[in-house]
Amino acid sequence: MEAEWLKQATGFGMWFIGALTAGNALLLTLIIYRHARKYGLQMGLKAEAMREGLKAALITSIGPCMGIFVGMTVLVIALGGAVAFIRESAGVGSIMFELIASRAGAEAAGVKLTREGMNSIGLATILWAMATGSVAWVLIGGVFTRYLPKLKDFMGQGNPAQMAIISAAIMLAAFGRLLISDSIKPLIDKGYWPPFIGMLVAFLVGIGWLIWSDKLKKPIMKEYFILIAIIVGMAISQMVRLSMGK
Amino acid sequence: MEKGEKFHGMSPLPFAEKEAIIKNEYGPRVHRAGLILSLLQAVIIFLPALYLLVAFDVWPGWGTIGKAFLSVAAIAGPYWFIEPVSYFLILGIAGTYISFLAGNISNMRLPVSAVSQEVAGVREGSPEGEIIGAIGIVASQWALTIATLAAAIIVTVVIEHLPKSVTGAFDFLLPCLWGAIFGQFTLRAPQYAVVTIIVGIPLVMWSGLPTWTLIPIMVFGLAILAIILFKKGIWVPKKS
Repeated sequence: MEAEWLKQATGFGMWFIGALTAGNALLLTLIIYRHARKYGLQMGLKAEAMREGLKAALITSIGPCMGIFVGMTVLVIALGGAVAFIRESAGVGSIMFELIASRAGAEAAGVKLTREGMNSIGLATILWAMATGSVAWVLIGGVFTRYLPKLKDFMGQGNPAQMAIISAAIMLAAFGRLLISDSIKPLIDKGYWPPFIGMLVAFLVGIGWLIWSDKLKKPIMKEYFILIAIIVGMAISQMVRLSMGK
Repeated sequence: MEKGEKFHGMSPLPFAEKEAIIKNEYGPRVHRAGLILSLLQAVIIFLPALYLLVAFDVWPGWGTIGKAFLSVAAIAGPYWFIEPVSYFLILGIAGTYISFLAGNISNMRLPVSAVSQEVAGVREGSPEGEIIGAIGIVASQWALTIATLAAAIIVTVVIEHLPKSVTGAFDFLLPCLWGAIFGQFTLRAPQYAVVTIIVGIPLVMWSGLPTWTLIPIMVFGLAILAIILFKKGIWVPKKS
């Protein structure tokens, strides 16, 4: 029988909100497209150049869309198709952010981010975490875009190299804390190996895949590194669990 | 200009005339639509949570929401400001509105904008670049909507038909995902990966601190450490 929270997460109401979310973004694109064409022609751009730009953009979108399709799998598995559609069609879009928000919401509500461990309060907390954590992007992008050129000049004193290393450190801290809680803690507390082995395999496969794609000079391969790493990691974890008889 | 030339798509009109069209006609209209629909999106973002509250009376409480928000804000907070500022000059006016309303900037909007301008033969940063970049980003959102809808439906159907021995593997999805992403950032700053594990294990296992405080503590701790060490020239990547 389908759990109550999953019914709420995948019911008509949630799909309707998905249509509203994606629809609002589509409406903006249609308005902008109309203005871009009109004023493009007015400024002397050829209709053919605009058609070429549109066609090239659609073709270029295929690769990233495949990566997004793959990344969304994780969110669909965790929270159902409707929530994944709402968040990925016109939300933040970064699967990393969505999973951080999901994990933070589940933890604050005291539930596990699995289909078995989830409940309605956990789902609601996750949805609040996703909304409060991402609304600032929409507001800053929407309200302050007209002032951004000045702000950029003001913040231009920053050192990009320093920013890059701080960003990497922040990500390592965030994901390190999650990694320790979900794989090292079960091993130390209960001697339970499968999550730790899965994490380690995914870590090594992920690194190997990224290095390999750099060596082959095929950056497009990187879009699939998470998928490959988690599939191999999950398969080995499950094999270890089955061999342990648990 | 001939099609074989790199910037064959540039308009022959004087720059000042084109700039005036962008500033006085195109820009204000895009700003108005972008502002209104972004504000609307800021409300729509809360609808899933409000729907659970209104339709099913599911309310976690301010305390629980606050804890979750703090954990998310500790990680995402800096990016709320850094990303719009950093990407504005590349995305242009219309591109910025769409990108911050619908996401997927670095993996989709940036490459799509660059390729569409290249193919159309216009200079990046020019008035023509603004228009072609906007058209490219518009097209990317159309493609994204189709892809996400397909993923949501197809993955849901596939999961329902998988045997229990296979779906059981999804219990390990998160540890594997954290491992893969941790690996990605380990390649960028391996020293900080080691510090994270050495400091993180005792903090998570034995500190007794509330779990929701651990991410902010670790994130701000490592960020401060990175700033101090960078200024002293320690653990600075060779490429930077």
